[in-house]
Amino acid sequence: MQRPFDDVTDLLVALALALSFLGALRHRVKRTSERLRAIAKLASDAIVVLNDRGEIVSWGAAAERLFGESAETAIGSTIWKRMPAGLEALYSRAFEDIVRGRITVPDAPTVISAVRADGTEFPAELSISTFTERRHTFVSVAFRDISERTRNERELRAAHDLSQAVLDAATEYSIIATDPSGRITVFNRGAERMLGYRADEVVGKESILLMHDRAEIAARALDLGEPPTADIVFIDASLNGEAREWTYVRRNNTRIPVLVTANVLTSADGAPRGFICIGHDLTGQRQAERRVAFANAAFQKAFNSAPVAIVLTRGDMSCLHANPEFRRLTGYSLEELRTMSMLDMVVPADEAELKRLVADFEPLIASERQVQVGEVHMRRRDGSAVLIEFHVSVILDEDNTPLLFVTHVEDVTAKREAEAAAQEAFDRNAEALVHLEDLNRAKAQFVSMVSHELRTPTTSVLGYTELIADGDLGPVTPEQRHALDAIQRNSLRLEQLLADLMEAARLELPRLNGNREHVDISEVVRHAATTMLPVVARRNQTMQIAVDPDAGIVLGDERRLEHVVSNLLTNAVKFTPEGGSIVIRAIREGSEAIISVQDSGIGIPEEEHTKVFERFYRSERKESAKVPGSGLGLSIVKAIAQNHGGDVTLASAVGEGTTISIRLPRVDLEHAAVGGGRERE
Amino acid sequence: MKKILVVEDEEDIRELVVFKLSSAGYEVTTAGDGEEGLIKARAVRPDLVLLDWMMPRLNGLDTAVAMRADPDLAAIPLIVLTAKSQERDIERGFSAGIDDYIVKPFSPKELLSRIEAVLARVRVTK
Repeated sequence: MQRPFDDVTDLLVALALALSFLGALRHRVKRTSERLRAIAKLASDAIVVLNDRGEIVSWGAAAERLFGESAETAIGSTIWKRMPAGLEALYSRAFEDIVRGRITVPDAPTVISAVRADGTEFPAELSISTFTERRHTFVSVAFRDISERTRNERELRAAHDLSQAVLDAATEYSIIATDPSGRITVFNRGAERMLGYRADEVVGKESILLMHDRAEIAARALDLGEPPTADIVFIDASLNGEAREWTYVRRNNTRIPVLVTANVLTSADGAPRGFICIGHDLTGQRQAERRVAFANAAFQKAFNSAPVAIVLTRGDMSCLHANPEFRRLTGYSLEELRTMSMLDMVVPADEAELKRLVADFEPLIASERQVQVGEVHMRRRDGSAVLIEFHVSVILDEDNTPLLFVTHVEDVTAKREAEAAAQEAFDRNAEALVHLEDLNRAKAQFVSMVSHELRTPTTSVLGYTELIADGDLGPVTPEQRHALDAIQRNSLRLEQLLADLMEAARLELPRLNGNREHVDISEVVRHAATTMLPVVARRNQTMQIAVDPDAGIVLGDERRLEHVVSNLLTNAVKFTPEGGSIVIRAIREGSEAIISVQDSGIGIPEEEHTKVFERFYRSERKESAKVPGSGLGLSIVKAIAQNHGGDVTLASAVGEGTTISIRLPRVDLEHAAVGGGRERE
Repeated sequence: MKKILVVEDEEDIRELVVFKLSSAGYEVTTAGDGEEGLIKARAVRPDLVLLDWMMPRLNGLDTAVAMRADPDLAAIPLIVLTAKSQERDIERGFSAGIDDYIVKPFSPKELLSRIEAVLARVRVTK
């Protein structure tokens, strides 16, 4: 922010130097010229007299000095080699015309280039006059060496050019000079740009007050007890220092803040020649200041409200600042922290780690993230320990020495504990997974074994039945043939059931997308129940068949649905003691057909109600209960029911029996009669 | 009279097959497992061997491999009896050189016609 001001000062110094140099130079040149003129009058003018042919007739001591040539060699020779341009070139007239007095030679001296005897040139001022003596006309030429004056003038011009260049180059600054009355004498390009006026509009015409806020001038004048004139700017500058902020009013009437450096310009003799004001537009600076203020406020807000603990430390890890969250985490106040080092907070065992984090900042500079991450144990003010994760970033000075460490601190005590717990849980799960894989292998072996073991007896049953039926073992009576048909039919069905069970068991998820046809639930249930009747009779059980003929039509696989019902009935028979009763129902309920099988069996304890639908669950239990079966039954039932868009529910109490219900969505809704329980035995 | 060797560990099935084949006019020899089957095969030189797949001691596959490795037995046609779940394993049996297979449970009539078909094929090739 100091830059513009420095520039102004530098510029002012340069300009003041240039101007004062200019003044001094003018003064010196003037003095020199006067002195020279005076001297020349006396001695330094080389008076050379020429005859009417241009031959030198008089060559005085001054001429000898000036041209470096003695009168002996000069007299008699023509003047022309000493002034190669000749007089004609000067006056556009022949020498003769001058001699004959045909032109009037001007009184004012003329500057020519003269040549010394040694060949060097020098600027000379010459005055010519003619006189006649004894009827001969002579031309008197007075040469005066003006080398020094020319040099002075050249310097003067250079100085002037320099100050003009300074004025022109300073486009970012308004440079306005005035005469002692305040009238503008210089109005540079920077002023034109800043204020919107052109130099020719204001120079020599307007007062410096044109650019000022009159109210501001008036107020300042009042403070100073002076009249509100242009002088106020300079009086103020002389009293209160060179630089002050003024409001400039631009041509379009907008106002801008300008830092004005005002100075008095003095002549070489010390008399005030006017004033100079160099202005720097502060608009950008004001905006920058506002931006900085905003950024600072935003930083403060972020720092103070961050839910993350942040601490700023010096290169030696002493605390500089800490946000409220850091104070909360550590329990220290800001005043306490400012007397502490981070090393005071870390447990001794972890000091080395913390030092490593901040010492090893080289990779930090190289890395894109510029953050070092580490973990250390810290002690709070109350002595309790906390495991913290450090995120250290560094701010370096020009020598790449750490100036400031910005450290984010996170309490990871709970996080690390949770991670450890998660890892432990993961390990446990991995063990469980291994166990499951073992189970899966066991299942595959079981399926293979069961498949073989169950098929072998079926092979015998079917084979021998065929032998008898084909008459290979003797004649068959019609009654015997009827019985053999039943054996054959049911053996084949047994084989089919077996195949289904194996298929379902072999697959991870039962793929039972069999046929899709309209299945009359009442038919399916009645058929399955009738088939089961001989078994029920053999066990002295009773079976009530309550089937609503309008129980509903279901979209699905008739064979599998019958399989489901048979399975439920087989279970009911198996788990119901001899003499017990079984009820099978098929009813319609809203948009569903419901099949339920109720037995008066041993029942299922409540904790097993969901488990019985898991595959293989019951196999072990039933083996231990010495009840034959694969244990696949209910899982298959459930899979088939769900495959038909329905589900299975179970109601049971130990010793009271079990009711298993299958709900299946009906597809005969458009023909649905009023739902009813027209049960029938 | 064609000679058939039945290698089957399940007695009921063995008897069933023996009865059906004998009735059809074949001279039938039996073995209870693969090892015995190999011994009987060398002794009897049957026209066809019926081989159960899953047997104790030497199973069907190993018996088939052993027969094919024995120059005296290598040419004898082999029909394997197998459960449905082992159907996939049968591919290994074909690469070991079996001629056909029948899935249990099978119909004795079907077994008979398969045997006749294999023997007919052997006759044609010979």
